[in-house]
Amino acid sequence: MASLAVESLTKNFGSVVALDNVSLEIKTGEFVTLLGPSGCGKTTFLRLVAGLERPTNGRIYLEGECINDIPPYRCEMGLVVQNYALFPHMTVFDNVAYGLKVRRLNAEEIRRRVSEALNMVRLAGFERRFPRQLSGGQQQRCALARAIVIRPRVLLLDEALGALDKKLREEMQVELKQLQRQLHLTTLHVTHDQEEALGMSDRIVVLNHGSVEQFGTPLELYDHPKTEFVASFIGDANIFQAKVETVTAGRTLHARSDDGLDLVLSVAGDIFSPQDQVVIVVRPERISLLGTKPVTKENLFEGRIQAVVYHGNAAKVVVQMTNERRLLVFEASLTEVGRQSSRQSGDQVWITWSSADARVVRP
Amino acid sequence: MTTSSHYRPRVIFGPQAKAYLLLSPSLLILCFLGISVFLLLIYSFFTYSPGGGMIAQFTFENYTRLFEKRIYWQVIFNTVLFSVVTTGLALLLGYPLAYYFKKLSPVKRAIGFLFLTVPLWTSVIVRTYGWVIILGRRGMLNILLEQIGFGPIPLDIFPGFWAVVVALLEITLPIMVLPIYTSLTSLDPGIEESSLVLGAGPLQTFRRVIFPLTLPGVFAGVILTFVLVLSAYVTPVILGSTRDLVLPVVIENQVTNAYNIPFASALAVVMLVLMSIVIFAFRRFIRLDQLFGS
Repeated sequence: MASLAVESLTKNFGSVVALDNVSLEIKTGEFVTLLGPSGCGKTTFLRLVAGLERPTNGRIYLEGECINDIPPYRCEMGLVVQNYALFPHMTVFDNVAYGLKVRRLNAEEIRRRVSEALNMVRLAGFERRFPRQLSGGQQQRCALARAIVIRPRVLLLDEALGALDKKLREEMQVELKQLQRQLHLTTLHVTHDQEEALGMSDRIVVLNHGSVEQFGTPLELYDHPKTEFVASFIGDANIFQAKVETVTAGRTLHARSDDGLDLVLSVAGDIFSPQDQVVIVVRPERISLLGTKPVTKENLFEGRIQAVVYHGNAAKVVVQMTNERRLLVFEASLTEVGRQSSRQSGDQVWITWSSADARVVRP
Repeated sequence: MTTSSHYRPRVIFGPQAKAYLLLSPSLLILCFLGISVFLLLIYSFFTYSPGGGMIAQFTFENYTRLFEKRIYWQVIFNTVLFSVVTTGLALLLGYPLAYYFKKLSPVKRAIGFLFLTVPLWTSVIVRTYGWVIILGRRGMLNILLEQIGFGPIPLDIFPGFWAVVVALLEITLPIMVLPIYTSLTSLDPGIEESSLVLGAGPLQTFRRVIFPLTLPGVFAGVILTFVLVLSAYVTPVILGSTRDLVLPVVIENQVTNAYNIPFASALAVVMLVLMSIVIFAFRRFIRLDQLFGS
């Protein structure tokens, strides 16, 4: 059952369209991330769901009930924002107890639930501290405890980990994910950090200019991007603008890139016809660099190594093709004779990839 | 290599001394303020000789007179009552006004502030006589109310307590609104939104979050208003009745008519004590240290 659903949701700020006709459904207990560059409308989406903004058009449903006209204080949501917005004049205990106090629960139950929530975020013993006496990570935990203690119907995270340093952020990603699974919390997370999105989410909504580019699992998004934007925004990609030449038996597509390369790829279905303008994506780790000319003839090009950046478990290699185009290639660090242990810039190489490893996407 | 070839500026003032030199103008002013308050305190214990000014002879007489005569208790009570009522009303009117200003568009807000602060540009005499024209028995307000049908002289407040309060509100309102407005705008909007999302309605959010967090502004506004009203002289003289006698008026009377400097000093000391009590009471009540970080 859909826990949260939006239907043709649109939000304009004056003449600026922040969110343009977005429809999607989120299942109960699902962790969904809204991913996109700044200004793509992801925070607007979250604020609409929280009731802090009113939609220009469209409807928002929470467990089947339309919440368009329900004020934020009746929505039963949990919200954690980037700067945490803790109440500076209240202790950790009072901050976490706030949502329970305004619901007029009795003191005993408030005390029990606050300590339960503080235990969950490992902040027990900090009850009497003020927010300014906490580190960034502790403030983050406090804000999280304050949001989950009311048992929200949806947990909304607005760049909630964005203010933490890298190491702490990675720790919190793991903890947050565990907590979310344990409590079976439907979670809507907003971030511009693709690694965070790929690592934590059950599904990701990629937003661009207020519209959904693609909604799918991290694997789908990475392996089968639907648009050029998704392909380039998530992970690294080599992108070719090309024109379809022939489509053989609906399975093999021959295309010629705008810079004159003959590309072959496998496609499913008959959705392309000759002369179509398409975008072809090849992930850097799908490309092989060979010292000697292989027998294969498809997707085989000559090039020269321009730079090698060693990353420990892998190396980033920049290869310049004969037509001056540069390709990005990832090679796993295997110390094999003839492979990157001996890679030097200036080396001549053969570049190739399987026709099954290239993807064709919408421009 | 000889050190004598190097140029070495002669150090006249060390860094510490330089810092004090920079402070010297303000220290000088503080010094004079301190001296004058100190003199006030000394004079209040001098002996008054009728017609002959004062004699440097220690006495408690000025204070015993002040505390034994009922009239002076009445004057102190009047002064405090004006301050409390005006400050209370200024806060009651000023807080919503500051809140409203925050929600306005920048242009409307600028116009609002202009209207709010215009009274401060005008001379106190002109401003106060303006109120006579409006609030008098045959003033504009009464004529207007009569026209509407409220009967003859529906509003008989001039001269009197409420006429003074209304005129004092005119100048204390901007002084109350400005610090509260500053407090409100420095509040992170995310804090208000967090409270709403956590289930607190607008009223609870105001009571539990917004108001406590703007207390520093309220404190500043209240102190400034209170002190301003406590020392108001022209307004009570022009708009008050003979019963509305306040400390500054009595002090002025003692200095210019009775030439009783020691007694005037004693009255001034009482005023100083009143102001100090208010300031320290507020400090204790609000615990500013807790709001502004450890």
